[in-house]
Amino acid sequence: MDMERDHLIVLLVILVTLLMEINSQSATTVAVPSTSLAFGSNATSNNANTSFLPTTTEPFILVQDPTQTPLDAQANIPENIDLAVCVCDLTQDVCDVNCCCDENCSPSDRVVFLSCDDEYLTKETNTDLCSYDIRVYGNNNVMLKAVKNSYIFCISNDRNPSRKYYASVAVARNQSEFESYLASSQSNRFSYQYKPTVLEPTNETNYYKRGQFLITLSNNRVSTLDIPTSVAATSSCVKMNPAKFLISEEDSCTRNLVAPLEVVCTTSADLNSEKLRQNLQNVKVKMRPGSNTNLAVNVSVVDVDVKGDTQFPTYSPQLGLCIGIVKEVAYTVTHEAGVIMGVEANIVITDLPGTLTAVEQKYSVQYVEAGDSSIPYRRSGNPGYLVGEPVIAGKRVGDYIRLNGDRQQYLSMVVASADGDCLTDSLNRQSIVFGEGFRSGCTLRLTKDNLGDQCSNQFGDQCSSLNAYVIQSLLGPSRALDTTEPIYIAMFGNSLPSKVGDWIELEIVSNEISEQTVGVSLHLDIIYVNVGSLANPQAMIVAAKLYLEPISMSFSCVGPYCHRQNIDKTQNFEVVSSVAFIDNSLPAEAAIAEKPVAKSKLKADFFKPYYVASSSSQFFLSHVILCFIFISYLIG
Amino acid sequence: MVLRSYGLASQTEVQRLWWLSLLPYQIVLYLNGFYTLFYTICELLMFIYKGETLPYAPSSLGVEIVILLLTSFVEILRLFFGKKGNLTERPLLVGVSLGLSLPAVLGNVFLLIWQTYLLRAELILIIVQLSFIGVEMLLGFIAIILFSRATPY
Repeated sequence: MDMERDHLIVLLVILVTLLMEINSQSATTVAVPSTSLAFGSNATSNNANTSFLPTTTEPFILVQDPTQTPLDAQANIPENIDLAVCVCDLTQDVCDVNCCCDENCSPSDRVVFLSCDDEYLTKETNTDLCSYDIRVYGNNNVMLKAVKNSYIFCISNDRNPSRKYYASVAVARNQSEFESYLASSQSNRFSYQYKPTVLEPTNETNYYKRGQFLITLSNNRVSTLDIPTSVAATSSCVKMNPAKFLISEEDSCTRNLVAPLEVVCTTSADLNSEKLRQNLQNVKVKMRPGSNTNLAVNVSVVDVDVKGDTQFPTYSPQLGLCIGIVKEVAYTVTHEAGVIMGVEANIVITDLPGTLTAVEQKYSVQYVEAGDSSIPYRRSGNPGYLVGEPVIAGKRVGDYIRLNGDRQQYLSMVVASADGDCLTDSLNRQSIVFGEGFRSGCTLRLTKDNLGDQCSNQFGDQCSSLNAYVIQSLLGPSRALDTTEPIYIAMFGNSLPSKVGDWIELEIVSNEISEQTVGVSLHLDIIYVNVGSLANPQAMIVAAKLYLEPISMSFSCVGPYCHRQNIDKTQNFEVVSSVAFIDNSLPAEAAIAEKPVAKSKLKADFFKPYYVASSSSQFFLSHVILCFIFISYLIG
Repeated sequence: MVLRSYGLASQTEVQRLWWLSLLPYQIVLYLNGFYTLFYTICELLMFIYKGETLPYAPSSLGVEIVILLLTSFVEILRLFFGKKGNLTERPLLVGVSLGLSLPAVLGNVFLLIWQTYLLRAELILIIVQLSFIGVEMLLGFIAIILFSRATPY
């Protein structure tokens, strides 16, 4: 019995000690004593401040001590410290209003404080610990208050306090440190880098490939041959467009001037043809991307309609013109098997009125194979017409079709200028290209002079020559659509001029053009069909018809128009021309499949006891009825 | 003193007049078995909580969990040997149990002092566990002394 009692006593002791342990533990968690610290106004409390918050003074010392360099200051940032001790103290050596932690504030200053701004600007960091100090703002003072956290999962022992603080980093003082920072940064950046991959020639690139930038040396600097282009929104010239090998480009862009042309006529580097010529003569183009053999640019200045002497450019006040302005720069690159054999630059200059503030320029680059001066005949499709390629048309001369040398002028229509006038010269006419219907109207301004002698002598007469003039305007001065000779249109894009059978005659429907009527409307219908495979349809022109619609109109001789003195008075006639492409392809025939038939897979004797293929259906039916009666009996 | 006999016991056992096994030791060991299960499950749940809410240095969370599991394993062995040693009155087995107390204490002290974040709930759990171990060590010593004195050399 003594032994058992002893055991019981020992057990009791154990339980009591256990309970005491738990009680002491809970006592520590429950007790929340709070202490407060006042600091701010006098010298002793300042000391208390620094002693209780030893780290808070360091940033201030760093800022205020002029002997310390910023480099030292960066190195001395203490780790795992909340530096935001007094973020509202913004004015040095002066008390900030409502900033209770500002040491410069005297008690008399604090009297006027309405509240403490500090609490809005600093946040407590250690709230997940079981016990921590918080800053308490009251009585226009900052106090530290110990807080016990009653949360059961609060952190009792924190051996990783750095989790709440930024890692202290060193200042990057050289390029490699900068790069390492850049590499480790998580944020996305816009790439501003221009990657000059082509500008670094290697030995491997002995030949220019299609699309590769032409590499130039200007004043021993590796660069590219820039072809200015227009920006879509503003159409002003942008220089960053290197010439790309075997990619011909042509673009017009606008140079917006800082002052009227008469002021910047000679100074603008973009407009001054002489400066441009000198610049281009300094440019050398690398024959191969990797080689050191360079070619000088062959510069020639072409003047189209320049009035004045050879001293370009100048501003002529009496003419009001800026003479010798760069209108067009055309580069022609001669190449052979990926090696550049020569570069020519044609600078076309012109005269422009001095009042302009914007000049339109045209830049182009084209690539020509060396030793091949003849322009090859270019098809409009092989065999079917391609959309956007000119419709081939010509006149029949004997056993072959004679084509215009300029493929854009096979068939063309008159278009309007910006002010609505008909552009009757051949260069400005709109080429008729396959698949692109269009309609254009324009105004013909006619004087009596335009109508020739026959008409000018007979005032008031209705002139037949007016009709001829209008038709000529519509059909073009080159008379590609001359109605006097039959016009042949190629059925296919690759029709040979020597095979006349491949060409169809353009049917011209003109109502009676009498002396009272003038054909002011021209309409061309081109009917095509797709032939060949559905996957690769080939367009073939099967019919073309030209309508000339005459209306009754006259050169009116009313009032002042009838006077000889007013012979240059103009009258306006509106003319319309249009082209339509009509797809008359025969659709593929729809083949409808047969309806599927359900095929019985059951054996003939599947319903053996009730229904045998050879037996009569009545026998089977009787069994079904019997079954039905039986089932209804069961249910009923 | 109650003298009991049971037929299956050996001749020498039957002649003994009393048993030396300590009942308090056995009770504490028995209760500690349940507590260890509770402690291990709670600790694992709290590691999950800490791993979700707090940042850890690489691999430190894994190391701490492994140490907890090892401690629990040692604890099971320690309790097993303690129980068997107490029932069979063999000082060697109780000694093994006492020897295993050292790594068990070490593991608990690690979790108490050296783990990255110690939650208050963990603190309570570990203190209780350490108290169990302390009491069992005390009783284990008493048991060894009693068993050794009774063992004929």
